[in-house]
Amino acid sequence: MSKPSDLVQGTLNLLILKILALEPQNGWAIGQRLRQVSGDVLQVSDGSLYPALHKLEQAGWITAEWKASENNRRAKFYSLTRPGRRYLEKEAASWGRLSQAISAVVRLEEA
Amino acid sequence: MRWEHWIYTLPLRLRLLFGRAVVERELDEELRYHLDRQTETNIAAGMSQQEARRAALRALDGITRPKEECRDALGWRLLDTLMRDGKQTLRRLAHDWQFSSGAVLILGLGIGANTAVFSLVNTALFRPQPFADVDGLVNVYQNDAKLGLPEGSSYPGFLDIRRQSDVFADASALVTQEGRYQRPATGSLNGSVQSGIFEYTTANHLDVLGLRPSLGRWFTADEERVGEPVAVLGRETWVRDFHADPSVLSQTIRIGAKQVQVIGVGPAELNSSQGNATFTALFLPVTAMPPQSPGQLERRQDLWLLVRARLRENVGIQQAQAAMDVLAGQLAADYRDTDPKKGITVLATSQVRYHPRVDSQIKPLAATLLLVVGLVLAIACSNLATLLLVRGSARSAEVSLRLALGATRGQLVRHLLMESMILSTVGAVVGVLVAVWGLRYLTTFNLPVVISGDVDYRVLAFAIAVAGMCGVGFGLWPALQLTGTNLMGALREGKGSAAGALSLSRKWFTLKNALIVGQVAGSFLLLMGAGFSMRILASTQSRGVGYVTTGLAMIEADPRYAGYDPPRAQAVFEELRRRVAELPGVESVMVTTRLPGDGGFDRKVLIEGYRGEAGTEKEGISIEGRWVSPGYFETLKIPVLYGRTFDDRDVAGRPEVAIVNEALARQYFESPNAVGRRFRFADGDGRFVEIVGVVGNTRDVDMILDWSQPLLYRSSRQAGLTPSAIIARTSRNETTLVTLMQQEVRRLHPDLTVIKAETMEHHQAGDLAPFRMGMLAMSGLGALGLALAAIGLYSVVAFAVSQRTSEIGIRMALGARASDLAWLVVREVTALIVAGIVIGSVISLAGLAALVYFRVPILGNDPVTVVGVALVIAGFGAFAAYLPVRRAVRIDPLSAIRQ
Repeated sequence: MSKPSDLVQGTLNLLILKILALEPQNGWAIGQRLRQVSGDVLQVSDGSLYPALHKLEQAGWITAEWKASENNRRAKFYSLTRPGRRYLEKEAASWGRLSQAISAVVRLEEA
Repeated sequence: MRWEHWIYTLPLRLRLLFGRAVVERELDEELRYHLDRQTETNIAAGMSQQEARRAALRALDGITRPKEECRDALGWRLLDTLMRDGKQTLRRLAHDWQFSSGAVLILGLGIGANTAVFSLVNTALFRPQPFADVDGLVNVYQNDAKLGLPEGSSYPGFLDIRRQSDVFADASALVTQEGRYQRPATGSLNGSVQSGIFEYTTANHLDVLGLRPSLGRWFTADEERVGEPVAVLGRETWVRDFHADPSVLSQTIRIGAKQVQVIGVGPAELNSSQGNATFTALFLPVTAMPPQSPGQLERRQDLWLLVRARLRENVGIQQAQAAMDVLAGQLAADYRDTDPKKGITVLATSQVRYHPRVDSQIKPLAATLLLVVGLVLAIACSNLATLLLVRGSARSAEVSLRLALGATRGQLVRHLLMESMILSTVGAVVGVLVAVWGLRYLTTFNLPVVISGDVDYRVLAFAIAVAGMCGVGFGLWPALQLTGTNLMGALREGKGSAAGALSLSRKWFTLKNALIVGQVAGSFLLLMGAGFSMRILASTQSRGVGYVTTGLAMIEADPRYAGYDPPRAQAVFEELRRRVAELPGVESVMVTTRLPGDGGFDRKVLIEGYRGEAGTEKEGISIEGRWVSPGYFETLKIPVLYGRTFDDRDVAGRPEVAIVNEALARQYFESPNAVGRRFRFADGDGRFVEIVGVVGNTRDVDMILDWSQPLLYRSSRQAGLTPSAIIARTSRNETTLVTLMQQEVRRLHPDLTVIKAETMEHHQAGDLAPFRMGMLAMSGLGALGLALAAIGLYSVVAFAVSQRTSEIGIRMALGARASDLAWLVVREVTALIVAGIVIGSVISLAGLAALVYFRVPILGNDPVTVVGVALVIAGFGAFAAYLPVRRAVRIDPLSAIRQ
């Protein structure tokens, strides 16, 4: 099973959107970038990346187009749409609140 | 979801639906790209080619899995399932083609035939009025002196109404009448004489209606005042008879002896100013109308005009009615002797179709039609329901098996629902086709009213919706029932006797049986209607009109178009009469001014010694009359009861004599023998007219119901009227005689324009066309109902037999006789049919009683029709039941048991 941990599963969409907010990317590059930025903490398997991308495309958050990649091969590049950007902002904000709250709870000193 | 969303997702969705192969290829390519890049990266990190590839694949969890998950993400799983279900359903329906085609046929006929018939009658009866701003238009009627009901206006009355400028902006008047005109013989036109409807109206007619002529102009007020010989062609007439030639505006047509200048063509949207269901041929100034009675334009008694007024702004109908009440009071005071004195009625134009009196007769007609259409639809639906129920119970074993194998309830319901929806959709498509083609066929009938081939889409939508709901509903019913069944029970009982199969044999009051009985009863009612209309039509033939219509040949010719003056015309026709009398086989000949059934005159008479109702002593009684000539009664074979007919004694200068029919004699004299009695015309010179004969009652072919209308006959020859037709009775073929007579006319007087040359039966067939169509529609719908009920019976019996195959086999093996076994099945069917017939006859007898109660004249209680219809239904039912039963008793016992 290649399922990422529960936390990541809920936030995979958020991560993908955030990466795409920086610049349009193809699927492979998104996977690379995910590993890079999270320093291999987040184990996102390549296998679960693509279904997530397609779901996001279905939802209209991202849109795809075929372009030449850096090594001059045709690749499918995803980019954020305007509704996607709004969605990202909203999700990022709520994620921020959530993680703050959780870290506050975790840091509670035992009496 | 926001609209912006759709901009991004819609192309994607469309591609998913229609460009599946492309999407699959792209998915492949995307994943391959990923693998290649990852492999390259891995090699760069120091792995071998093979190792790198394997690692990349592993990281991706293989290539199939993410692909499958992507497909799920795209929502293809559902689509796939639906496609598979659809294919399966279609296969199943194709396999059970008898059931499928039956259901589609039922739906198609039920939807289509209904829509076609209803659309046709609907467009004929209820065309929208083509006037601009119809809400501001009112019809103004003076009420008739006798009953005080809205009737029409006299010409002076119309002028008074028009002067009420505080409530009416303007008012116009019109009257329609049949007439004839001769086209100019120029260019492509052949100068033939045409008959058509003339509308005599006022100069402001179109202004009041808010319409414009489509070519040329309307006549002016000056032209109206003097009755100038000008005419405006009806748009349809211009297109059809003048080939839409704009040069008609410089031409003259001929009406009788008068040359009339064509000055314009009427509005395209206006077929007719009254009801819009006929085509008006010519619009003429009201003052140019040939008077029905002397001094018609001055008389206040005759209410012959339809007055339409345009309300002033901010004036309502109540206000107009109040103003008219005041006017009516003034008129009654000012014209004590001549005003009808019963008031004036104002009605919204949109509320009146033809005339208040006619409208009140159309409404029950329309209600009947709706009832019939509803009945057919109900039969079709209940039939479909029966089929689906039968099928549902036939499949209980299959359903149980599938449930046992792990199918979910939802899946089964989805399958059955899909089946119903496919059937309903195909049925609806067939229904639309039947409606369009059926209507096209019906419009080929030559009818005196404007009909359009337009399908009434509201009715079509309604029929489809009802049939569709019925299909889906009854498709689901067995599904829900079955999926709730006890699996083991149904499986153990096996194919032979699942829950539904028992319904016919053990439980009597089931939904299925009720539906069958309902169908039989419904088709009984429909066939009763068809039977009655056929009887009515038959009674109008031959014997029913009071004279013998067969063996008569007629030629109609208008001598005025040949330029003959009345004396010359009489001489010419007299000569023709003698010539025709010498033709082989001719028994008798007459010359007449009007054809039988083409109407006559309506005069008020004062009968000597008859008091009548109070108030009529001075006014007189209104009586219908006909102009006839010597030989009329002999040629038509109308029996002479007392006295004599017109003969050579009755010429101009001799005292005027008359003949009455039996109905008149019975109504106004004590005995039917009225010979020697006298009367005066109320508006005549006071001289008495003596009755010299009494003849049998007759009626016009298209006047189905007034058999005993009093009729007065006067001699057209004595009055010096111009004859226009010759009618001859022959003992040989009347069609041949028509040709011979035509040749004779052409030889003797080639300039005499023949308008019609045909047999009397053919002539009357034209008058009967609407009835024929009505009868055809009724019998068609009746036959449809019967066929549907027969299909329903057949399917139920066939099903019952198939469910009891092994039982029958065992019984036969044990030595039961075929006839006993047949009876076993037939017993139940017979009970259903009999119950249906009983219910149907009770309802139809109650309906007949209601008709009698509401004084709707019908042909009395008609046991022949009732018994006949019952026999037809019993016969069809027996036949429908016999086929499967016959199959059942021919079963080979061994193979039946083994099943």
